[in-house]
Amino acid sequence: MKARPVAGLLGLTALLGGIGLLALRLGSVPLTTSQVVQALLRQGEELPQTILWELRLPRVLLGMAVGAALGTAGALMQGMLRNPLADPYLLGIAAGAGLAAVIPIVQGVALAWVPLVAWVGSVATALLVYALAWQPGQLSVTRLILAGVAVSAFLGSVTTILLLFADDRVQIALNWLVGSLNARGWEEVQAVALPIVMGLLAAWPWGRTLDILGLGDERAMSLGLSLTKVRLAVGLTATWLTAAAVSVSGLIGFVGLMVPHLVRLLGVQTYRWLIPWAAVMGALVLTTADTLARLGRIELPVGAMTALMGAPFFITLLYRRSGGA
Amino acid sequence: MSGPILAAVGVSGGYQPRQPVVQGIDLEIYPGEWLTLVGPNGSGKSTLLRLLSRLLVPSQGAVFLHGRRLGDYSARELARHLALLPQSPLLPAGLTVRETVSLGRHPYQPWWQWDLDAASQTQVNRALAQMELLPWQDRPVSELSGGQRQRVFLALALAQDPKILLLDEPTTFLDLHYQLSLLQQLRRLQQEQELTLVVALHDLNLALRYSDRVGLLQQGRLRAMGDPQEVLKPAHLQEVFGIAAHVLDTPVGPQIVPLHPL
Repeated sequence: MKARPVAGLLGLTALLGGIGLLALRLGSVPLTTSQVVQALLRQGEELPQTILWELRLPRVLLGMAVGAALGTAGALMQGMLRNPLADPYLLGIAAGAGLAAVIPIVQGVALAWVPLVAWVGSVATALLVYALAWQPGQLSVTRLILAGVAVSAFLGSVTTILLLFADDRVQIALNWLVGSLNARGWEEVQAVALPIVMGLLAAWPWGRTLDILGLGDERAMSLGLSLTKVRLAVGLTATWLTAAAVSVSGLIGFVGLMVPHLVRLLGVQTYRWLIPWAAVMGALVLTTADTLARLGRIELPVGAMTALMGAPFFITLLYRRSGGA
Repeated sequence: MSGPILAAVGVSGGYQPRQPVVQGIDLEIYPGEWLTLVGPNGSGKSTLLRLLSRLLVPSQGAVFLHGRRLGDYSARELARHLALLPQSPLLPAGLTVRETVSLGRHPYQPWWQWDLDAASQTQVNRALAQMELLPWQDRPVSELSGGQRQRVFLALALAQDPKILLLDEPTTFLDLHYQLSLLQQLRRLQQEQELTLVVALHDLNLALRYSDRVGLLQQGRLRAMGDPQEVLKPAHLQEVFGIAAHVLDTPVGPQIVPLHPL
């Protein structure tokens, strides 16, 4: 029982490496594996080197980081809120980031600041939701979810109103809201790589705690957990990861919801293992989706791709699983 | 007899401020004894268990563990002394029996420790063996029957290695066979490991049969406390439960035969 999660995780990581290589090869100018390897070593022709180092490598790395962050944040939220429908955006992060990003975009000002503004919007909204849910000495899951939904709805309608009056810039705003990795480069990688790696490392030790939460509030408390502290710390870790991801990629949906379930369908149930698996699986899913998104004649934003491809795939898996059992 | 292991002094408390569910409870629990709390629905049994295990903080009075205020213990420290098994704990989705029982070692594990250390492994194995769960250890908990699940939850509590185990209606969802075997197992643990048991029970006959002492709750107050036969005498049953009853001698000791409501 013990070797399986480790071996599986290594296998999944190897698969991620394979998909990463494929993503580096495919594109409007296809490269062979040897060209990719040569270019990585800064050898051979000029053009493959430029394509690889300037365009594909930073984008693939960013996709992996964002996917890992969203997958992990999704697992943290589902465990902390004990709710299979929870995702990284449930506590208002998406709506907050969306509004914060749309304002400069529709005004046409400070576009370079959009990532930072979106980051601040995410974190501020999550903190607001926590403040609204707070009762002296306790933090209930129901209040957290309700506050998150209400704040999301409110900020969402403000965003919609702004967009209605924004005519020519709606396209840019929409592209951001859907979530895309198009034209992202080393600058974005540098900005979020360290925060995301820190967040992933901080997330891992919460596994056992999330398993204990599965026993119910009373049993968890009687095992020495402080529910308030756990809900704050886990929620903030998830917020940290999500805000970093959102700031560079926009609001890529469905990954954070689907990835933890995908991992469960593969038989990994305890959060101890689910959290690292969700990170690798998130990277895998997003890299695949982004590669598919840029292969067509018109490049789609990856955020449109994740649900478009992900949902039918996910539903098929669910049905095959229940039908076969 | 040595001093009480757990004591409530003038404890009142509940869920809303200024609306105490239990009031003015004075209670001393001695090491290694089996104390059963009985009383009608809503008399405050579960609330009292929560106050005794610090899931609720008393609005008045205080609870003392080994003479020290409950509030002075850290959460993990408290969890090493005292475990509460709530009436209906949730099943952690998809975990195996062994994984579930291992969670009981949480109060002893530093947060960064990934695997159980040898001492914890031993404790988990012992708990699994005591609850006869070793053959089931790699099965998902969700595949087990109600009686087996209750044994898993009990094994989890044993893995926690508490000195005091508080159980809220542990027999509620069990058939007669499992009710008796669960209480027999508890008695064995009480005798072999000097575990102190505080058990809320609905079934007065099980209370008579297994307890060293019985506390009778009525509308949030401790109406009577002491020897099971003394507490569960017909006069008390009439007054607190509103029933007429006989107490008969049987091969398992005195048992109550309820006659009719009053």
